[in-house]
Amino acid sequence: MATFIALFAGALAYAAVLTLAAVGFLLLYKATGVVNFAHGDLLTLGGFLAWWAIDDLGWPVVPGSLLAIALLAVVGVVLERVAYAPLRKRPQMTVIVATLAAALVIRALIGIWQGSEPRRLPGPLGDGAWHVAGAAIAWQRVLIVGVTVLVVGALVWAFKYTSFGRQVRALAADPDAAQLCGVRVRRVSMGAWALSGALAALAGILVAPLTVLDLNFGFAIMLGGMAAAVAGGFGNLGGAVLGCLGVGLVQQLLGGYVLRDYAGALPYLALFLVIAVRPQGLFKTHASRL
Amino acid sequence: MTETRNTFDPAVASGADPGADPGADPGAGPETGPEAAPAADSSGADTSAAADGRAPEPSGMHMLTAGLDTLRTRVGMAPRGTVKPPVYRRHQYLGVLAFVAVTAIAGPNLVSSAEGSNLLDLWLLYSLAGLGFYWIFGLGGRFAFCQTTMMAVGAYTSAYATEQHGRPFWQSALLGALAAGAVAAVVGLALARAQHFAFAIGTLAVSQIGMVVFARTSDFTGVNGQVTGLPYPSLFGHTFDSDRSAFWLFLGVLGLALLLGVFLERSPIGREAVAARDGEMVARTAGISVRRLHLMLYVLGSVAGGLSGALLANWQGFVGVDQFGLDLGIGIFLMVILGGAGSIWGPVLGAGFYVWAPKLLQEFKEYQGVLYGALLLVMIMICPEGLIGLAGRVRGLLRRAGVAGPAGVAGVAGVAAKVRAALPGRTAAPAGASASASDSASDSASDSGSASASASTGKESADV
Repeated sequence: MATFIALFAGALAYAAVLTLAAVGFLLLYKATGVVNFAHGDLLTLGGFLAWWAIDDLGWPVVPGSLLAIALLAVVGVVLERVAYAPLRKRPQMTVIVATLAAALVIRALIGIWQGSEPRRLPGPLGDGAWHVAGAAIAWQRVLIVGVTVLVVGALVWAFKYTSFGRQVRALAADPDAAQLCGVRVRRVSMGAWALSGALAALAGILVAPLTVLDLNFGFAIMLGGMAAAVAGGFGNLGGAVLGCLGVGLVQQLLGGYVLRDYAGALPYLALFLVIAVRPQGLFKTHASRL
Repeated sequence: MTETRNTFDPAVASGADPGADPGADPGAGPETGPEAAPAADSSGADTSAAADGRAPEPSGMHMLTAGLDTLRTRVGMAPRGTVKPPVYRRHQYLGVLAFVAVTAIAGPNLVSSAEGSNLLDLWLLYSLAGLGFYWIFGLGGRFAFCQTTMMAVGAYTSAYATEQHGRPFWQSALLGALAAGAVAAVVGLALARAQHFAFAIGTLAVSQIGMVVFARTSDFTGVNGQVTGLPYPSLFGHTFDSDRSAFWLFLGVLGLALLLGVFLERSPIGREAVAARDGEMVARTAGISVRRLHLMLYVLGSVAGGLSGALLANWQGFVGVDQFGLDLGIGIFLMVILGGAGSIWGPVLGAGFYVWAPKLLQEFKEYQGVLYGALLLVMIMICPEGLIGLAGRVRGLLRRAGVAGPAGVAGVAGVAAKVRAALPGRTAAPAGASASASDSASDSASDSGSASASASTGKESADV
């Protein structure tokens, strides 16, 4: 029972991590139609910026993390100006390659700035754990699940009730019609990039204390999030959350009990099967922009 | 895009553009295709006949390409002008032979150091893998993340056949290539219905599964995915026991693969692939079996990848999981994009760049990633057709500038030399090789028809 609870908590936390990563690039995808392959490296950058603020500047954990999140929002806008805005009228493949190039640059810059040795980022709640029925659940995991629920809730609310959210939804539904109706594409695009960068930093800062922070840290998480988002039906927020939950459960429970050695491959196997059987994703009902 | 008016130059960017896919706009395909094609057909034939005094293309194919151009205009892309099917370009096979000859002469003579010949071999093998990726991505328009996984499958299979069953080199290499092809066939069939992004993510899943499986199954891939102590490759009783001798083997294999590449481009398969890539709905309407075509190109490209991996394993004597990681995956993608995804010479040129750039920039080693990324960004913004496209563009500009007389010829030669000097991936060693690659490719990409590098200057003066 204790093992099950620990594994289940692990699954929930892992799903929350993937969800946090996934909402960042899904938001951007909805607003601009870009699949941002630099998102994973933004996660890494967020982690390293927080580490820099906390360790080098000596800030406390929470303000340091907030600083990193704010900085990443700025980085998001810079990326929009440098790598996306000049290519907005170009074919999508060009833009995707540009984001991949941006990912390479960001990763290399982090390597030059901080070196490649792995770090350990402190969490805001310390190293304590919550003991339930004999299982120890790290506070950080509880925090991740809580923050993820808050973030997803806030995003759903914002999509529904704010002007920005409605503009994003209009752009996702039909970019040309939205533009004709007066949606300010440029402004929404910059806002979405900033928000996406901030979400990436948030995800990176929350996940980093549970694992080691190195140059490949974010990219792996992003791939997992992308896999979950595709399995859920790309562009569909609810589907992505469910996909992340499915990936978390498959990896932790199935990998924890049965196929221990191959746990890392299980989510991808599930993803492959989903794409083979239902290429549009599990919860997709209509054609998407891709 | 106006420079490429007379050239058949499928740009990367438009090729795999999901936005231009008529599937995204269900009304566009059937509506534009038949209705607009005849008009565009006649005008297109006029211009092509007027421009170079040649007979217009066969009408069926031409109607199709004209229809595609109309489609492009409709979805907001520049029409490509007169499209010249590759079969009208001359001396393409000779171009391959010239490339092999020039490399064979220049390579060993210019490279003297041990490291140099090592890099030369690596370049040939990466070119082979890149060529495979070009078939999948450049020609087929499908982005497969798992080219390095196919290389790993080839490497492990050939290592297994050699070590556990004592097969001779040629059999185990062939087995490696076939195993990669078999894996690709299964994956390709399973992902047949997946569209662009889903296919990319599905193949990404394959590569992630492969990573874990190779590291964990110790009886097939060795403990932790490490196989060591493979014997040198040997063929017909001759053992290729050094980098210098293996060069000949790899050059031969790459030459054969390039010949196959030219054959593909000139065959109906190549034309159908381009049509399916640029306008899937139109291609389907014209009776092209797009799925079978995609599957075939995917399997073929994977076989090239597997063969490259098998040769790499036998040459280096060991196989490790890390060799075929994400870095090389991105590297292969870089090769094809930087070199140019519109021509079989793109990957060859790009692989040269990928192999030699780190060596040239040794003092800037830590900035290498920044440089790659920035270069990729600049390239995709300024010249999405890659280095090959850049060379073709310069040529087109020169021709348009109307260089005439002896002075003009001198000017052409001077600028061509400058372009060659400016091409990255050029060192003292491979200068002949990479320059000749770009030369012959841009030749065959333009309509001058002089594909052989050695004859290019003479031919140019004749042109002018």
